[in-house]
Amino acid sequence: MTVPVLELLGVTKRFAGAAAVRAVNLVVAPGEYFCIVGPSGSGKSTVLRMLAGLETPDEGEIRLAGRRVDGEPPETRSVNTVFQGYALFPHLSVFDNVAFGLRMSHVPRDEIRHRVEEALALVGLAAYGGRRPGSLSGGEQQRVALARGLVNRPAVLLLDEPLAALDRKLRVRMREELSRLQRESGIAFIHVTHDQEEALRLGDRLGVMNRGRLLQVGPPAEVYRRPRTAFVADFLGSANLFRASVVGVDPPRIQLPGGTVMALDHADSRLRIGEEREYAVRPEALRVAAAGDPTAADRGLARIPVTIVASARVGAVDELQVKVGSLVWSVHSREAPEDPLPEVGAEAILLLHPTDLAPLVPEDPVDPAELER
Amino acid sequence: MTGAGRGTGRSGVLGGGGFVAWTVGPAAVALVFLFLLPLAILAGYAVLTTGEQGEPILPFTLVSLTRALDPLYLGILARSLRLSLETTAICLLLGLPLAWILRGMRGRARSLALLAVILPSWTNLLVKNYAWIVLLRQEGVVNSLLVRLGLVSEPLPLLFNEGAVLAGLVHTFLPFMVLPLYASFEKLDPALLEAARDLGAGGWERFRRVIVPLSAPGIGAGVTLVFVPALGAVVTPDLLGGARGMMIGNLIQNQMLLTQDWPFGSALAVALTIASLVVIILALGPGRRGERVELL
Repeated sequence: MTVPVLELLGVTKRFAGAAAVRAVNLVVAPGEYFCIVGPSGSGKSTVLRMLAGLETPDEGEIRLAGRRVDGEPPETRSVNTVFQGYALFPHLSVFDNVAFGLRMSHVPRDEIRHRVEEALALVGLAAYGGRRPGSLSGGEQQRVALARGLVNRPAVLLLDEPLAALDRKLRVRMREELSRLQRESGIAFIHVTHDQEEALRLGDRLGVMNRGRLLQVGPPAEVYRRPRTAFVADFLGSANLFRASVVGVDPPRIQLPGGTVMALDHADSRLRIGEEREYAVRPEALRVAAAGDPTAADRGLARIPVTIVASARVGAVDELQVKVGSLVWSVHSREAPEDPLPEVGAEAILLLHPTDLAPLVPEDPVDPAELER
Repeated sequence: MTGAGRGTGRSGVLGGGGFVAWTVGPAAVALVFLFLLPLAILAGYAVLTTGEQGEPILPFTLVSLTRALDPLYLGILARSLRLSLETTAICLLLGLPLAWILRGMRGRARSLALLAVILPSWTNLLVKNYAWIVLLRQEGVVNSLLVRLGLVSEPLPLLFNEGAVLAGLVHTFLPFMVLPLYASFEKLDPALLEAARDLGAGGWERFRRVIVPLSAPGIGAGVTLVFVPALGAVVTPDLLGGARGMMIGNLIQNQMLLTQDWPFGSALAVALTIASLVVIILALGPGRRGERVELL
């Protein structure tokens, strides 16, 4: 197996005694696009700064291409950062900004010229070398910041909220651009964002952070469909969260709100009859069938009788609110235009596949003293 | 020209040209009467003949200006320039780290440190200079300490030389260097320093390639604020310099007040003004160049 380009082992960082990052473990493969997503204050930027060397972990190890670097200053690490707000040098031309890192590592002049021009061409700014950063638009500055990092061919490029300062249209374009640059350069990207859509679209894998912990890591589709905690479920989009009691262990079965019993697709030795467990299911994973519709009776689908409490057709998606026992769930289903929109007050059958049911674990309890800040 | 005269839109004292006249006016009047006019008079005196009592009389002549170019006086001007440049350089070397340390401080500690920097400028110049005399004279604090420690057998001649003047000038002018530097450093975006580190720049490279070019206005201001008054210093060289530490300011004072040769004193003052301007232009020139595109 190839050496991971980046490893974090039990990395912890405290500020004034309060833990900002708590025991984070992470392995990133060479050439991977990895997104760290979380709300502000979740510790994601601190993780990035520790990778850059701008903060030193209090505990744990950081390895870059197998070599331990957590004691090293930023100057000597083969890591470059695209800073939030870009941090371009206002007194230097675009060319000199991009050439800065190469000059610091004493690359020969001719090679500097060649590589800077190449990098500027890569980000579509070939003609901008002589301009000052102040005369560029936000999107152009963003590209300069990317070129300034990529030109050094670092083992890892760190991106701190790279799209946050751009307007919506530009953000969508730069998102595609980032994806292309990462593929073409083959450099591992660690992209920190608070925008779950960004993370879901861009990352080969993503990690969700909250209150200093890395809660879950995996491919976006998997993390989205099978969140491990209520926070992950909720942060990565809307989710129907509910508690259900275990009524069978072999095979495992649970009783949903409203009384429907459904079989689980996974054996879990920790299940105990009578205990309550928490689950999440995405609105898109649900479908509603008319009460008497027989076609849905197969393929292991659970059939849950519900009442429609709200319905709207938004473009191609039917957005419904249905009453399940005492809870109200959201349902987003894609229906053919000729199918009628279920009426409010109608009885219906909610169809749920067991694989779409994500069992949740409680987020590790946090010592309140640790969260003072 | 007056806004009130146009009679349209804004009117009254604060309208249009009236507003400009009332705000900028006093300063302009002060500038003309307290600065430009005396300067013109001085320049006029410099090209007049010295009368019986030293008063300036007609006809116009270049005698005083020519005399100001005598090697004796040029030597004093050169020493003044050298001392002022040395003062500026020492203030810059001390001021850069000092201002940088101030920038890193927070809250109460910073207020106290800033106060410590500013305090000397609130102290009377004479008091500061006498303090140096107490320290540096034959039987002063420094000499008695050196003798008692057995480092020297005889007291050193520390006072009445250029070194003593330099110490006094640095003491006087350091705050004028530190404050503009500090103001510039404060405005420096910390992210730029982090970006430079991230791109492999060590301490010296960050200083040279990021801090200095971005603080150029503050450095220029500090250099000017120290150099120009240092060049015109009178009290400090008088008290601490003796004959060997005489500066151009003392010479001008002597000519005008003791010898009472007003045309010659004015000629020396003109020479001083020109020398100051030349040095300022030379000093600020490179700063501006530094902002241009850094080529390969």
